Amino acid sequence: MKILIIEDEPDIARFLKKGLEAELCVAEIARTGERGIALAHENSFDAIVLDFHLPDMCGDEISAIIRKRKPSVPILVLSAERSIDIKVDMLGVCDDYVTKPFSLREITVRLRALTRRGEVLHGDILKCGELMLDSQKHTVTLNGKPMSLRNKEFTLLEYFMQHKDIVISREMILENVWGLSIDPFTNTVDTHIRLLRKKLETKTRTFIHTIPKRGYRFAAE
Amino acid sequence: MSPLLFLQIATCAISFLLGIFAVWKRPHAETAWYFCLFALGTALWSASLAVAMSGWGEPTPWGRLAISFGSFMPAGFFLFLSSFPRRERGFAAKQAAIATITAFCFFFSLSPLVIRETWIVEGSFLYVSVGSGYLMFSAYYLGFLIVALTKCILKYRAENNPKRRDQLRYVTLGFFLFFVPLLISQFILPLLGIFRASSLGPLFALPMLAAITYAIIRHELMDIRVVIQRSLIYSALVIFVSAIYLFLVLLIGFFFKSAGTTTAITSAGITTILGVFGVPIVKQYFRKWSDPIFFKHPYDYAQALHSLSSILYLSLSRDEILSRSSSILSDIFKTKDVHFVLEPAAIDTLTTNDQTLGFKTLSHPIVFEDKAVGILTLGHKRSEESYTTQDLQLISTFTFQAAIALEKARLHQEVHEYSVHLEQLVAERTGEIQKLQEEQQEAMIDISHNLQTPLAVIKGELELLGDSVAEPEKIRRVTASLDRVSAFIRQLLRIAHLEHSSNELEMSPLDIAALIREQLDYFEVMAEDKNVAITSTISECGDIFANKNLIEEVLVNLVANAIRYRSTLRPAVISIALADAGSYVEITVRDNGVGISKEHQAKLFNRFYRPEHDGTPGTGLGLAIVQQIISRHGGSIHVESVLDQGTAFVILLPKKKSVF
Repeated sequence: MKILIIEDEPDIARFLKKGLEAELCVAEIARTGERGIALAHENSFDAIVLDFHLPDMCGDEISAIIRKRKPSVPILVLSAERSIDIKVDMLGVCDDYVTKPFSLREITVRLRALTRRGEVLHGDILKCGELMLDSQKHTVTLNGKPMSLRNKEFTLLEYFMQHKDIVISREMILENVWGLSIDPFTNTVDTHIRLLRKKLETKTRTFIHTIPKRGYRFAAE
Repeated sequence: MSPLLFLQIATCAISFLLGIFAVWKRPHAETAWYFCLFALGTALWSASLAVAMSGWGEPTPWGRLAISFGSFMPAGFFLFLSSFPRRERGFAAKQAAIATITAFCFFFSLSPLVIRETWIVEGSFLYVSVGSGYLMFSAYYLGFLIVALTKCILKYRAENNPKRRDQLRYVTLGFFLFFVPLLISQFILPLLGIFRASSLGPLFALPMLAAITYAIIRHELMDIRVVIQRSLIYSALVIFVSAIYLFLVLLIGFFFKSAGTTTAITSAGITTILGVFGVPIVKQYFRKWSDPIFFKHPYDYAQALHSLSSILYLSLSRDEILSRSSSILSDIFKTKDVHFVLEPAAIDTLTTNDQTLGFKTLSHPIVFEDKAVGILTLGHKRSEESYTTQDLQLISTFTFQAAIALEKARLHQEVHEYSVHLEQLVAERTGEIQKLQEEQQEAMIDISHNLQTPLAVIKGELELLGDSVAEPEKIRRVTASLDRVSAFIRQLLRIAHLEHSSNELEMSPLDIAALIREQLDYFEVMAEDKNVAITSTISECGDIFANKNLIEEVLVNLVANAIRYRSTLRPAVISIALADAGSYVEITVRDNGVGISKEHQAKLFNRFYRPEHDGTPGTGLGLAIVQQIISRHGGSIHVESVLDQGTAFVILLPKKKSVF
């Protein structure tokens, strides 16, 4: 994967580059918005990591200019702010965002999820082997038998089925299923996944795989 | 011009002016209109007779017209008495009957049946040959007048109000003076064949008009005294100017034996000059001469004192006291000059004559607590009378009360100024505090931004070290600490954002019952994980106007706290309730956990506050944020707790206001 990092803080840019390279990515750094735009236009990147507060330009401006030429390149924004209102603003101009201080793993998980976005499924009926979920009717069947799920369990399963075979972090799940940025119970995601597993899985069939230090992956087969 | 003709014209003019003035002065008073009808009837009667006497045209039709117009007099007078001093019962019917009879008489009198012929004898006397209908006309006329006279006398006897009695007395007297000569000249003598006096008819109305006028002057009948005085003055002025003009014409004619245009122009020129310079002086003189007649009357002491006291009692500002009492004093003493001097410097230079009576002007000090605070001076009365002992008593009482009222007004003004000043100060201070708060919040936002970047660097570097170090567990612990610092900064930033009132929250109608039900599912899962039972009582409460995410955050925080501080001594139960509380909804999150002592309860919502020996992780900002969110929604939150028994958080949120 070839990633462009637009970040003025040299230390952050350096460890991001290092961290991404450790994940077998190729990373290039731009210290200013202007340089970033130029690099993005000249080269073909799989994704862009963009600091929202740059000295020369604002993140949403840079994002808009890049999007004009390269509408499909995923952009992940780094921000110091973390509130729901800001999240809504950010998602208007980028694909995803993480707040400082972030973990390198979180960044790589999100970047991979973004680059595989093409496989994200949307629609009323989601199928995964013997498992079928109808968003419209709010029903789930396993081997043709209807299952009883709680609201959050249903939304969690829907999110997994939309992101099949992609590693997704706890933070991503918390944000997308609960709309929370901080988990006051500290174990919301794990508890719900445990309950969901109990209902879905048998000794022979595992849907949700735990990926140590990264998150979870919903396996299609 | 014969003296008789002149008298006719004068009667006509006086009656006309009096009638018109009454209506002009009090256009909404019924009595004024009936009085006017009576006066106009007299005026037109005189006018018709004057024309007949002057020999302009045939005298017969004018004579008939005079009789016709004369029929308005009894009608006007009857209606005047029926509505004065107040309307009688069945007035509308009487009005209609009189209007019909009068209209009939008016046209009937124009026919030869009443007056066959009229002719002039000896140049000015009118001779009338009456017809058979004259008797009928006389009966109508006399009948009405007798009924009116009776009415007058009866009303006078029944009236209790002394002022009204005086008014009625003069009206009756005037009427009597009018009626007797009229009866003789118009009815008895013509029936005996003597017509010499018949054309004097309207003149007999003059005493009556004079009596009513006197009633107006002395007893305020219809309140047109001032108007009458002015009109008399101006009439006199016109006569004065005309007399000068005529005198000059005669004088120039006599000395220079020349008559015609030159004389007229010269006289007019001199008259104009004399008029311009002389009229104001003569007017002043007339006024001085007529004021005692019009304005000489005693005032009612009790009434005067009452009006003055009520002004002093009700007025709150110095200017109001001065202007309103000046106007009342001027009215009571009939003087134009009422002055208050309240400047201390000016008081010393003024002398008072409060002990000396018999003066045409009066000065009296206004004393408050043995100190003169002002002086009241009254100028010449319009009647030119001297001030009496009673006047002095009234003024003395008034100034005593006025001193207190002025002091009251001064204190009131002082309090008012003080409160205005205080409001200004409060506004200034509030502005300063607000500015400081805003600066503080901006500083907090800056600090948060600047702290998160180095934290991100440290965290990133530690992560890169990752598994390569010998004790990765130590790295994990440092990373966890970093996360806590970072979370703390984020919470601070949240509070700063919420406190910044310029950051508007996105609000929309929200079904609070549905929201709680939706969240219950989540809470049950989290509670079950820690062996905590959840119960709920949700009533339908309609919509509130709120930010859904923030209200969710509040609920999650409170339930998470309830789970975190559960007691190990008994099975933990959390109950969530939603109830309708009038214009509010009441949300209660109750637990049977460890409870909070009284001293801690007071500080619970303070920022950074954490109970001592609290082993659970947290920033101490959660409840401060909850309170801030609730207050931004216009609601309130309070805690009820007993140590070792449990805690309840009660939230009140305003319902969405109905659009209707």
